[in-house]
Amino acid sequence: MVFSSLTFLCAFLPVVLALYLICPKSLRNLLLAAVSLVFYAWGEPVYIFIMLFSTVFDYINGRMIEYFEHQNKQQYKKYFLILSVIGNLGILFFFKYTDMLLSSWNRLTDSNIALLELALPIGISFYTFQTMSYTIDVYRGIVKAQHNIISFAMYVCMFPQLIAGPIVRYQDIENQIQDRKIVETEWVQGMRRFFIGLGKKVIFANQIGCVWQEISGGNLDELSVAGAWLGAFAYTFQIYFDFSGYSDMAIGLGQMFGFSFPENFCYPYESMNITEFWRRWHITLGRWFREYVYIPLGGNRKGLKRQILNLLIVWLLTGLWHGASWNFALWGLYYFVLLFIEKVFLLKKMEQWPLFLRHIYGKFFIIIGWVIFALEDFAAIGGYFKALFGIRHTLVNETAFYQWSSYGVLMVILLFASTRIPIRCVRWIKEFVMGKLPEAIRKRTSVIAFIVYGFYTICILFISLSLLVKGSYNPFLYFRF
Amino acid sequence: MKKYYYIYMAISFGILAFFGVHSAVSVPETYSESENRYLEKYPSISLPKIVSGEFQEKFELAFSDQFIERDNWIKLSTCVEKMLGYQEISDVYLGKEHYYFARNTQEMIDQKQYSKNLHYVEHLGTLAAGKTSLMLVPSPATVLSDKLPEHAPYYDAADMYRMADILLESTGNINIRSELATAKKEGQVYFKTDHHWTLRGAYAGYCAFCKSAQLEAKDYAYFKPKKVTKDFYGTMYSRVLDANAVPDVMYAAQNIPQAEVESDGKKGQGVYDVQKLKQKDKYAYFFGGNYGEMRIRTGKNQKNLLLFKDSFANSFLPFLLEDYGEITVIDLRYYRNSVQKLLQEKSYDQILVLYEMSNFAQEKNLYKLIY
Repeated sequence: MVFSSLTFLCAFLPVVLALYLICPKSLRNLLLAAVSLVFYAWGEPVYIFIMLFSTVFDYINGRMIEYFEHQNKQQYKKYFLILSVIGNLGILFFFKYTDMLLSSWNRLTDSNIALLELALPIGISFYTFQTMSYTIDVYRGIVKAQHNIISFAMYVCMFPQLIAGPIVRYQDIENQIQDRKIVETEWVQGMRRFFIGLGKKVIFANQIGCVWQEISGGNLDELSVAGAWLGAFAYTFQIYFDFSGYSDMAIGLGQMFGFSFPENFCYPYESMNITEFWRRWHITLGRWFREYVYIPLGGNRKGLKRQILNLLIVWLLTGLWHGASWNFALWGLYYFVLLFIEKVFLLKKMEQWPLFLRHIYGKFFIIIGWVIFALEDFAAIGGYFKALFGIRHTLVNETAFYQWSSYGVLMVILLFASTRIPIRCVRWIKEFVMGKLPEAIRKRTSVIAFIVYGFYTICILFISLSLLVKGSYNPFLYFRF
Repeated sequence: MKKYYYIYMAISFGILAFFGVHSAVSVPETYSESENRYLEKYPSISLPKIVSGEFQEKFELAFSDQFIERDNWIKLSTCVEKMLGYQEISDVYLGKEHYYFARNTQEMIDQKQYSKNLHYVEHLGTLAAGKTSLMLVPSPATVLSDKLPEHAPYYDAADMYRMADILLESTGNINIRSELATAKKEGQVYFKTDHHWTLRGAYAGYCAFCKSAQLEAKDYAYFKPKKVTKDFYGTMYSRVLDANAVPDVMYAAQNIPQAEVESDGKKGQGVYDVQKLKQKDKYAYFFGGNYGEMRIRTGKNQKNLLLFKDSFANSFLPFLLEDYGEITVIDLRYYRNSVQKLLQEKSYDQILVLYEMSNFAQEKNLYKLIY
């Protein structure tokens, strides 16, 4: 099931929220685990067994690591860690990368090995990373092994962040798994955040996604420069609003159940360089790779050469994590090169650049990155770049005129919505405009703000519902993750 | 302050739950009049269907189709999309003066299928040389291009006619663009909310046909056009459900001879089916809709016409009743018999193939002409 569906919004969610409210505290983990399985099975009725296997497998590994820790048998402890890592990566590798390697092998050697052609289990990249974070942290002694398998299953299968993140490490919510409560203010904040995220996904991402779909799906030879850039902007906004919308919905849902999940996005398109961008984009993934790959590989502690190698490994893996296709590897490599250049000299040099130039630099390379990310085949990427830079393409044509005049307004709205400007405006109104009003109104500022914000989120819900009822374009972007 | 939190909790939860409960308890609708389509029903539950995911998929479709006040939700979404500056919704251009045009860009026209279809027609033409002609009715937006949103891409009807000119040798190619251009000065030639032509548009087609078949075209006023409904929301409206749409007025020719209509072997409703004015698709007023085979007899004279057509012919046909004692109307989409046999049965004074242009280009049934 996906959040942006009527079935989730009007059937699954109200039932789960109601059950959770009346459920005794001791049974809440069981309830969440059970409904999460229903949630997952709705879309993946067969692959649910992989997730269940993963759960039991890592539960046992965690217990064994703890057991040998008590026995002080470091060697065995390590075996179970290795078993867990190999098991998790093995599942991930088998389902996600086998076909990619087979078809590459076929192409290189002109052979004809049959592909598996398995559909990728949704969310597998997210939950295998989460369960690995658990066993690794148990091994390191950062967290205690979970003895209650229901609680552990709840952690692995928890539906809010199951299919599109954020990647919640076990240590992030270890305490909340045992003990959490529903607080009205948190519940309301969570619901509002959920509606905002829904709006980001359904109103913004889906709408602008159509534009990208239309442009990238059309004849690339007839694309004009203006059209190509419109398409690139469209995808840039689509992926941000889609992904951050999902994260908002996940975090909001978590809040309603008493969890506090880590933030995943921090206005990444405000970034003025790539280093900054990756600190603000998909934060939990970057943190996972830093903590469980980069630092264990030695990080920056083993000399510059080794550091560069480590970065290369991390960024190739990051790229491939996003999908089993070589364009994602190229995309990772692209960021490795940019980050490397910035680290070596550019960041320092840029400090003297004027602000607008730094902004242009940051946005330009982010947008170019998304084109590599969005187009799977290298010929298409090449063709699209030719259009972007006007190599044998006209500057503008009728179609581009029409598309810009149709979607220009939406584009400007998205541009502002992806920054902190709207929030700053609201703050300004609260502080300066409200401050000038008579005492009687000023005293009620927080109540008025609450009502206005509440009304706003309900409006977003209604508009989102209308688009969902109509059945407009509503893709799921993470089926390759 | 806490009070407000509880109110918000109640409202937000209440809204979601209400829609869900309503869908669960209400009796499912089977047909949507305004959208012109059958709605998805809730699937029966079974283990294999769940394992294959079929149940879940059908359930989601049904849940959305059966959603409370579906039409009004779609109207809201259209309103939002218009506010965002969209100039097209669900592949329909939002034209000026409340016109709605199906989006048919150059790329959407299947040129291969188009030339294939022209070959089928040409094959028919070689069998009845000198008597066969093709009339393609250009899509509304190609004639009313000034009503399209600025720069909106659309296919070029002149190009399509040119292609037909090249590929047709023994078949006449009736180009009705100039007739339509003249007619549009007199009045509305296409509906605003429907993809069909109005009576006046059909009359322009009639004039062009008369010229090609060497008949004398009568005046528009001769047919005494009468307003039959002023409340017609057509197919384009169904796709957009725009709250600001203006209904169309539909006219029909009154001064026409009495005719006996036989539809698919049964006695039909006659030329006009008044019952159909009560339903949403009011264009079915003409002959009650489309049939595989229709025979219209007036006994006015001995001349006969064989017509292969899509629904555009329905409002056009009444004009021809004066001129042909018998008209055989074949809609290849629903026709199951052999066309060759039909041609051998008797000889026809005229054979006409009449289709809307973009529809003709994508029609997959014209191969039946050679069987």
